[in-house]
Amino acid sequence: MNHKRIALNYFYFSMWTGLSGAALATMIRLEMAYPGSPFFKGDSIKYLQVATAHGLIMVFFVVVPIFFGGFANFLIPYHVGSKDVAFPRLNSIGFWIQPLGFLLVAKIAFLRTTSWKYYDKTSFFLQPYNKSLYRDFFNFLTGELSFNPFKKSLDESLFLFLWKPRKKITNTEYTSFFFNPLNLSFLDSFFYYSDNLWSLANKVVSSRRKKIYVTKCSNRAAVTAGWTFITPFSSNMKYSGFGAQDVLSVAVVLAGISTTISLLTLITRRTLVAPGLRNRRVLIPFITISLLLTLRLLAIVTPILGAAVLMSLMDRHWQTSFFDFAYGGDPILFQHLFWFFGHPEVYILIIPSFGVANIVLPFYTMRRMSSKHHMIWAVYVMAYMGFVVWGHHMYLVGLDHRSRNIYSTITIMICLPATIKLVNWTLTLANAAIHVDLVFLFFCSYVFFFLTGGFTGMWLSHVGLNISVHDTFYVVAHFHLMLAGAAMMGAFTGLYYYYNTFFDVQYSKIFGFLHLVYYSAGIWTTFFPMFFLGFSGLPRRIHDFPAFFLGWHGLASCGHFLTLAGVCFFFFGIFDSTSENKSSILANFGIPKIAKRAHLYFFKISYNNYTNEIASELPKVEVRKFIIENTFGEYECVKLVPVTK
Amino acid sequence: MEKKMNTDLFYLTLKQKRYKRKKNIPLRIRLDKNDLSANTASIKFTDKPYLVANKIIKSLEFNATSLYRCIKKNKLRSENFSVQLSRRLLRTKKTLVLPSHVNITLISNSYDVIHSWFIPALGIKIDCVPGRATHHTFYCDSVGFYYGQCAEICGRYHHHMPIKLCILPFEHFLIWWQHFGLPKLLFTESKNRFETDYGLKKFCW
Repeated sequence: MNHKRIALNYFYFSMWTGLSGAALATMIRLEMAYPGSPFFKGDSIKYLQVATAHGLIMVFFVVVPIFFGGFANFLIPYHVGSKDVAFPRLNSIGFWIQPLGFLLVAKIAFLRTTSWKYYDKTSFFLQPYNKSLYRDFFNFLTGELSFNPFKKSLDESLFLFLWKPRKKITNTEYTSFFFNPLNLSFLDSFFYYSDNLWSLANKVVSSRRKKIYVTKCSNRAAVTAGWTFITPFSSNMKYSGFGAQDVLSVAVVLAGISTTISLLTLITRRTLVAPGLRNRRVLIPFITISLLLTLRLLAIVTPILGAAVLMSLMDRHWQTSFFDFAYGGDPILFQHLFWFFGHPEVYILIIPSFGVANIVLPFYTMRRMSSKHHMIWAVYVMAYMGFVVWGHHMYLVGLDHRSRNIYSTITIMICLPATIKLVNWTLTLANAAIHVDLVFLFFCSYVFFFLTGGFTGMWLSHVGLNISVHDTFYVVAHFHLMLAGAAMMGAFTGLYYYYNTFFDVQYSKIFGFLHLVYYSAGIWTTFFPMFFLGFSGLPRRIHDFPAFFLGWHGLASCGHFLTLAGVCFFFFGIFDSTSENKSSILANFGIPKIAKRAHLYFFKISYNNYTNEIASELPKVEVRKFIIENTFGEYECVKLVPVTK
Repeated sequence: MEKKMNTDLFYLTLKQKRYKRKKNIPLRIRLDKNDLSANTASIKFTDKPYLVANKIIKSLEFNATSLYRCIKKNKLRSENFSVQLSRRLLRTKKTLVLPSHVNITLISNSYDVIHSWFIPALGIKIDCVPGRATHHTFYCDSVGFYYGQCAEICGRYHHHMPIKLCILPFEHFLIWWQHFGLPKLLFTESKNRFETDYGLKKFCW
């Protein structure tokens, strides 16, 4: 219920989701490591589903919880001088909706297909061959009339949302085993499969193979639409059947509801209780400014995503035709709606990291930002310009060239506020007394990621260049440098900067440094080659590529494992700092750090006991609880009263 | 009769897997008779002819590296680094033939899902959207084959939607059009014959 507890919950949750997203990314990179589909073995639908889940998880369940769950919940009430968020219980509910959505996304890996046999899809000239006519009778014959207990699970498997039923063998008689992969039950084979004696004989040999074939090729429950929900797939049951697409739509709606709830509790007036602070941005820290701004943006764009997704769901299930061109709809309409959400969304993901950078930089340069007003102005302008440039994701769908012109111009103009930010950071760094610390190095890495991502994005916004690199790996490299590079670096910068505050221990410097080096080196090695892949014209979202592209893809896959090592070091660092449990108050007793760590690990000696002794000499206090009532409600408060003896 | 039996036997023999490595790769030798009807001129080539600098050059007769590779992998020269392998996922049955030095307007549409007609070397990409026609005008001044892949996600076989384009010099294109393009349009009765028998490869170089 406490906002700090909920923020920590968000952090831990996003660690788990981030790990699962990284596992999906590993699958993708293993698949792309070599031509010929070495990981998914040619199952392209599985690849598309994994890529979709990766995108959705990383955007909706990693970056958003870190910034708007973790940082916003922890910092905003502090920075505006409030005790808690406006509706603490609602905030908690908002958090717990998030795992629900994530579970739904995770569920799509375990969906079963709707089961159909070949005779459901084939038309027969001779009606006696049409076994779908007799299917119910056969089910009755082999289900209810036979004594085989396992036949019941066939009927259950028709139902899609069941988990794969685990068959527990209780009856160990020999007759129970005729469901084995080599299907030797002749009665069943005759009723279900065989057209004549020859195919019945072949059935014994080919049953295993046929099973695999059905699994691979009839999987209509899987999602093919990608995380952008490309329209005929997301809105038409013909292209992706009842299954993962619906589950993902509901998951996205749940994520939107969670985000809406948490931003409601954060930007309500009751959170901003400090009387002098309201509407005086200069007094609020940068990170709070940017977080509040992006929360307001989220309040605008999240309903649009919800509406678009619900419209596609209605297209799928309620026979509407918003996006079906055959009945007067337009598949491009969905792209308009999605990108009207999506482009502000990507700015929403990056703007909090500006706030983190602006907070960190003055601390490590011992001076103010060179111009705070310009910085705030730049962030605001960038956020609001993000609303009018969604068309640059859709240059090729047949937009009018004049509107493409306008979109392109405005998008290129966005480099103005971005440049203002970079110049501000540079001017702050120039001639400063820089304290080079781990957090500062993270900040530097962040700046380089942002610089490269921004420059490549500027090139993308040009229509003529976009025609040749749109939907190629160039785009993939660009937005991964921005998200996995810049936004995540901003998150890590903030996390290490506020480590004492969040976790009440000092971070482990060596693991933090290893995390920095391996993570950024991995991101560069993974995504920089993708620019060259894009220039060579390799389209996105293909799981098997011509052998020509092997070299850069191999390098990218190697880089991914560097990134994974960085992620491992991050978790090692958390483990190390937790087990070392070094107080956030700096105290070393003339013992070098490495010796202290060695003593800790090998001899179980912790030097922090001294600080604990000092802490134990603090005056004893007594905890008194009381209730404050104001016009809005009741709050339970805690007061510490020193015990006088 | 005897001879026919022998050939039948030959065809019925299954090709066995070779268990021992080949020691050397024999050159394919074609013997040509000269005016004196003697087998004097022998043209040797060991691989498919390929195109360098606008001329058809026979592949090198002896290349130590590639020969070593052939022996090592126990393969024929064409199997070792074949055009088939490097063009995997880019091979098509049909090739679009277009003239060079002409403004071409391409109008695209789609019947099922959104595709994208993408040729990297020409810098062209057009989304093919169901229900609307997208167009792009381009001008190509270099002759040759261009390859591309579908660039918008279009389902299970998205990775295998190759595009092959042959840009011919304008005069060649006119000839091609007279012989292959126009008859195809006019005589739809014999569509199958034209599609199967007359490949582009036969004509364009």
